[in-house]
Amino acid sequence: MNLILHIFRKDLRHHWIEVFVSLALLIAYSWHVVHEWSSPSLEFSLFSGLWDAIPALVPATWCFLIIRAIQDESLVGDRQFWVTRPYEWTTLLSAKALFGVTFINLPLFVIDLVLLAKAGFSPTHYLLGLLWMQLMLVIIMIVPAAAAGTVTSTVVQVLLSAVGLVFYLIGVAALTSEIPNAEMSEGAVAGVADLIIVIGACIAVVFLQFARRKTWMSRALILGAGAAVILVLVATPYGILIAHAYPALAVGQQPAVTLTFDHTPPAPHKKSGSFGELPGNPIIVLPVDVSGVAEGHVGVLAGLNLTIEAPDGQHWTSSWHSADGHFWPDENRSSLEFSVDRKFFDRVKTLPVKIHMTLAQEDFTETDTLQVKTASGKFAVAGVGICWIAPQGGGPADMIACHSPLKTPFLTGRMNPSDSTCTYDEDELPPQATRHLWQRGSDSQVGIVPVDDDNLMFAGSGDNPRKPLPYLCPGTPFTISTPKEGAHSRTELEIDGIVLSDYQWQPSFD
Amino acid sequence: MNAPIRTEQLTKKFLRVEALNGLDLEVLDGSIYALVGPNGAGKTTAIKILMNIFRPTSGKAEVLGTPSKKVAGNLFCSIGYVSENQRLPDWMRVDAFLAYLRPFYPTWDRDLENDLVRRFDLPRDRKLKQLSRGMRMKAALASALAFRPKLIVLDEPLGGLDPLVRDELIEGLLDRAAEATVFISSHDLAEIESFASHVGYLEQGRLVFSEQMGSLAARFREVELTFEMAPTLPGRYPESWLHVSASAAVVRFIESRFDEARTPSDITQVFGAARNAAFTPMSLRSIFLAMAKTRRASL
Repeated sequence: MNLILHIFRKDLRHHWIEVFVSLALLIAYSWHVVHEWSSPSLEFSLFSGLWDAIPALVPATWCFLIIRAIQDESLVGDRQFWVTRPYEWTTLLSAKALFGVTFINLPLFVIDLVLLAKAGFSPTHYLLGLLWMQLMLVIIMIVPAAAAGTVTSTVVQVLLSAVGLVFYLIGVAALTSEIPNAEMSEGAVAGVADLIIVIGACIAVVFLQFARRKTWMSRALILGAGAAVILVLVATPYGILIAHAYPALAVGQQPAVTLTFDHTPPAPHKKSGSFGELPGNPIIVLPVDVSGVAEGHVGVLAGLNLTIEAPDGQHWTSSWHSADGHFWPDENRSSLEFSVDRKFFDRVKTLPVKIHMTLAQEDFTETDTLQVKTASGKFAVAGVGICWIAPQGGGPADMIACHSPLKTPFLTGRMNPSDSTCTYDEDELPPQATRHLWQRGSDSQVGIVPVDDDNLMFAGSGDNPRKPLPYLCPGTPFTISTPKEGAHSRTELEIDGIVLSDYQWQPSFD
Repeated sequence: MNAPIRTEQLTKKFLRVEALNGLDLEVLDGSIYALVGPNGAGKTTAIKILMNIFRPTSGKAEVLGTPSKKVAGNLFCSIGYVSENQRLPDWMRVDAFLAYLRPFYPTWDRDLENDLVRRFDLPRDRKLKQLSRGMRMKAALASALAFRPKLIVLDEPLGGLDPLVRDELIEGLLDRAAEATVFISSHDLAEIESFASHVGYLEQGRLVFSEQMGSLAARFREVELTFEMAPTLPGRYPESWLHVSASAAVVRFIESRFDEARTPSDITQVFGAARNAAFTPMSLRSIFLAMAKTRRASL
């Protein structure tokens, strides 16, 4: 232990400037966060732009700090003085870990306690969550940075490796966009596998380098992990996984939502005020009738694929694409959006075509429903955090802004405009249809700040886009529920004889 | 322990390049063993294998009774290693460098440290990066001697240093040699000759010879023979004769197995009686050059 502290003190003497900068940035950032909570600035300025850069700078300085500390006893090459001194690798690794914990984890933990308290939460209630955040920080950032530090001997080498990593990520992103069905399911399966491969390789490299200093083997391991990620990306049978995740409806099973094409002829496109044809693949918006959503449930359209057949035999099939449609029991009209290959669209856009659509559905049950009444100023919402009524974009329409401890909760909500305590002129009463809230939330808390900013926006139809009205005033009631995921299913939708150009989405500015 | 360093058939290949080829070496306890040889002979590779910086391709090496592959951690409390191209923590001052290393060694001797710093005239308050090459070597040597190691391993410590610094380094080393075994690789043959007890000659990864300095000096002689008239030169000479050359009535060669009784007899057998025979002892440098030229000619 004495030698661990001895090496630690040496690293601190050598890197006190980096430590100071890293701590100063963390403190400045947390001060800025607290300042924004009390008086948010909506205007952009050069100064605010600099503040916006700090969330990226803080992790960057942490990475730099851990890399520099490791490179102090470089594990690359055969000329380092320390290699022929009585260092035990476990002692050296422990000293570097202690350095990271002391100047990265510990300050962040303390800052997080302060931020939770400043946001109005009791820090002691969230200690486990904060430890989880620290673990995520170590896994996602510190371990990869440490691995980079163990296989490089200079900052220049690290920067060159970072440039290489950026090109690799661009390549992977480009590859992902080219792989059929990957967009819908990549995050679920391949993403987890990739994370295990990358983090596993980084941990192995750190131990291999400290214990054996096998630099080329370690570098090969990292490159191998990169290749394995691509292999997983390419070899994952996305179509099969999606079909397995969303099985066809069993006999007697009801879908989460029934969507049927609305055959009402579409209104002709306005000639004036349109931006005209957009580049890229055209987007088709089909009106649909909504039915079959049981009371207390929400039907979710997770994704869709489709085949379009023209009368002359031409056809085009899309891959699976994720969608984010949610349908409520009291909703009867909605729309389905998808893009079509530009060349195919240009050939068949005026022909009556047949569309066969496969819809991936999820059923959610609203549980633990809670009645909440807004108040002037801040009010606590159980399971969410501390909330207040906030103007939406600075305009008259409103939303409920909340600070949630650790992570944004997964929520649904309802608000009945007839219950609104807002006052309106007689000639501008808002639509009375129930407004709904669907907030996905975050699966786990990763980041610097342990307080999430949520905006609970109750969406509804019939708003005047030019003059949206407020719904939420002190005393207005609403409900929130915790959605519980139920059955997944796959349903089919056939639409015959429609002309695609009639349903092409064209943005307009009127 | 009779041999703090021992290798058996030690081989190291870098891809297809064979840096060491079956090296058999034994360094006796208490000796000052000088490993000499031309550039690229494999001296540094051999030392790096002994220090577990490189792994051998095959063969065995033992340091202080421990296989070289396990030379690590606390064993370095008994080994003082200095290399000419070692990277020191340049940002540290000399006194901070020594203070940093102190806790790693239970046997660190503060008095000896002070003595070495004084003897080497090391400026304690200067950063290592501000020191000249010679000063840095002295700082490295002081840090490698102050804990009284049982084995001192030096890889080309004298190269490129001025004579004064070399003398200071050697003096500092010799003071410690009485209680340690010293293994040193060097090009500086004249200096080595002055203090080494044993010498090994390495070339192209092979140990050409390894013996006590005294016996080496005793068995090499520059021989100059003067005859009444130009002798008839035979096609073959005894194997121990190197670089035989004749000029009129004078024949010169290097006898690598000189024996006061046998060598004159061999000469008489080959050339007949010589009018005059001179047997001149050779310096290590001359022996080294003779060996190197012989090896080169045989390739």
